[in-house]
Amino acid sequence: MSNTLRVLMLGYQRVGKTSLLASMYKATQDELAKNYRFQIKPGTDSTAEFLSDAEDRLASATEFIVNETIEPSDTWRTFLFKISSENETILELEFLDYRGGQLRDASSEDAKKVREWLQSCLAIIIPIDSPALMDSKGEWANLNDKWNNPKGISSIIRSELDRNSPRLVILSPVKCEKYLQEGRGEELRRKVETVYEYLLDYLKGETESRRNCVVVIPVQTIGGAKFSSFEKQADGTVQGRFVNPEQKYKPEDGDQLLRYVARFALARIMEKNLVRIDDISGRIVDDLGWCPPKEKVNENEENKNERGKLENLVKLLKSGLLQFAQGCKQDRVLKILMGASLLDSGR
Amino acid sequence: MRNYVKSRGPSRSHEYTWVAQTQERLEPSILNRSFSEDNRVVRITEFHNQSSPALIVLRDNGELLLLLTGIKATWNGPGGSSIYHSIAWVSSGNTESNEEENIRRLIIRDLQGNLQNDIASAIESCPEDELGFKVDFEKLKQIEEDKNVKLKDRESNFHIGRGKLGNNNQDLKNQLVDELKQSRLPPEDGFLIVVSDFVGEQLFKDVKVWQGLSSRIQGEVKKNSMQPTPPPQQSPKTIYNPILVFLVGLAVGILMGIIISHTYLNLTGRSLLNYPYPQQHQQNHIP
Repeated sequence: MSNTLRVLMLGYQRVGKTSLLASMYKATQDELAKNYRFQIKPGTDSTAEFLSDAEDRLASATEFIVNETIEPSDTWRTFLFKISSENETILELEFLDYRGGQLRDASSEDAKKVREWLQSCLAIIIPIDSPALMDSKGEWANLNDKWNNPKGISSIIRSELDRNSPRLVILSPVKCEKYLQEGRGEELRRKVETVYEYLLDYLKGETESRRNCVVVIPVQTIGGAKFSSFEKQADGTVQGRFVNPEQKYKPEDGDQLLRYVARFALARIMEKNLVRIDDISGRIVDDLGWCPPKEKVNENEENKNERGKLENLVKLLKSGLLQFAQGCKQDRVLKILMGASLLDSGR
Repeated sequence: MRNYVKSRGPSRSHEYTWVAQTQERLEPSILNRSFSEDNRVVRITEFHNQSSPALIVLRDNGELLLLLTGIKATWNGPGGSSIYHSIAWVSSGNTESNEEENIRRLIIRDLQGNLQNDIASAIESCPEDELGFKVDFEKLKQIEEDKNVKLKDRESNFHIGRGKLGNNNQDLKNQLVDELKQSRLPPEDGFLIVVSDFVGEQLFKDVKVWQGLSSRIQGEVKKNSMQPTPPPQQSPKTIYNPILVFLVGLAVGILMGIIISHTYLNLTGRSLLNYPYPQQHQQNHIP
């Protein structure tokens, strides 16, 4: 059995989509690699290779990180993480990354791919450039609108009308080391709520079948580096400058994104026993639509063992997700804004 | 043959973009296809990142793609970061067209390290332009049609070998060059050649690449298909083996001789079955 759940990264150019993916990759190498019965690991060579390269670039930046450490994406790519137990893959999480600037061109391949994923994804992660969110004042007053473009993000989400199942939306302030270390985490979260009010109102008003669970999860994607200032470059563009006096790369809370996705998936599965083996057909049934059946068991004596194996896999799927979900944090900064019941698996 | 280039300008506002010969934004559609092999869905992006040089030759649905990535630009991006071009040639001609020969020459030149600088010199920074760069497609056309590499096809249906995976070193690159000089690209759909340090052995095997080289593979994984693929067995309808023709002719001649002799003997009242010896023998013993 190999089922794939899609997670869409939704953000414009240079907002931090790839570095957020790199911090998730880092989490799979650290927190999530401890002696658990289940592991989350990169699912393909290219996922591991690409994200470890991004991680290396962030780690090799020493005193200063100008906001160019990770190269901008050159095409749309998918990254795969596998949840497995005893070398058996029980679930795959697939993330879409792309050229953020192409979202402004609806005819681009990247924008088409984003529209396709909007309809089929289990979760949307919206990376938010924290310095642009928190320090866009005076000379830099328009940076939040330009870089994070909350209205643009909102209209992309509003353009999707075909979905008919609940969804997890994660607002994830990134490069937020400065604010968390200065004890301004709550301020950061409140600012997210204010700036994305238009989007939140829309998500709150969606119909019962399209309910949204919204969580704010700040992730320290660049580890020890702290934002210091915006600087105008010779070509007229603006960049954020980051100081990394201790020369360390230690991203934090990248695992929380994966944990919340796992928790949401588990809750959806448990709510109405949505992923199960049908007694009559012997198929794995998935009423959610994002977990298509791929294996069939015939109801005869010879295949009883096979059926038992599949039942075991469904149990593994649920217990694996439960393990990851148990590590979800929740406090005044990392906060569930709406739809908390959609995270409740009843266990 | 269609030609596309991907690059970006020096400013933060510039983003990697594909342009076609018409200088308009246009991405070759073959790059966005997915390829399924034994339940494994693969995209071309799994074979390269933007900064490492990679060479990918793919045939799909009547198109032959040569994609080169990781070609360092002559200018830098913001903060001194490097910029890398990609270039794609897409042929829709038949497998015996000049376009395929040109693609073979381009592959050979790239494997010999003689192509990247030429390509980079045809792309220049243009900060004022919306895209941030300009491509001299005329110059790229000259590079495409350069005939300095001589090809000597053994036979028209002689193709490069299949299943050769190995380390991305110059010895194995040279072997591939030698093969390409005398063998055509296979007419089958699939990943025909991939030279990329981004790829591990498993992905090569998953997609059943014809020839794959990567620094992540130690030594030569498979030696049994080092030799170019021999021409397929020819059809009996078209074969005229001289020895076989001679033997068949001989057999027919003998058979005809027997039939004619038999007919003659029957007409003259003698039987071939007992003539001459038994009858003569019997006659000799009659008193």
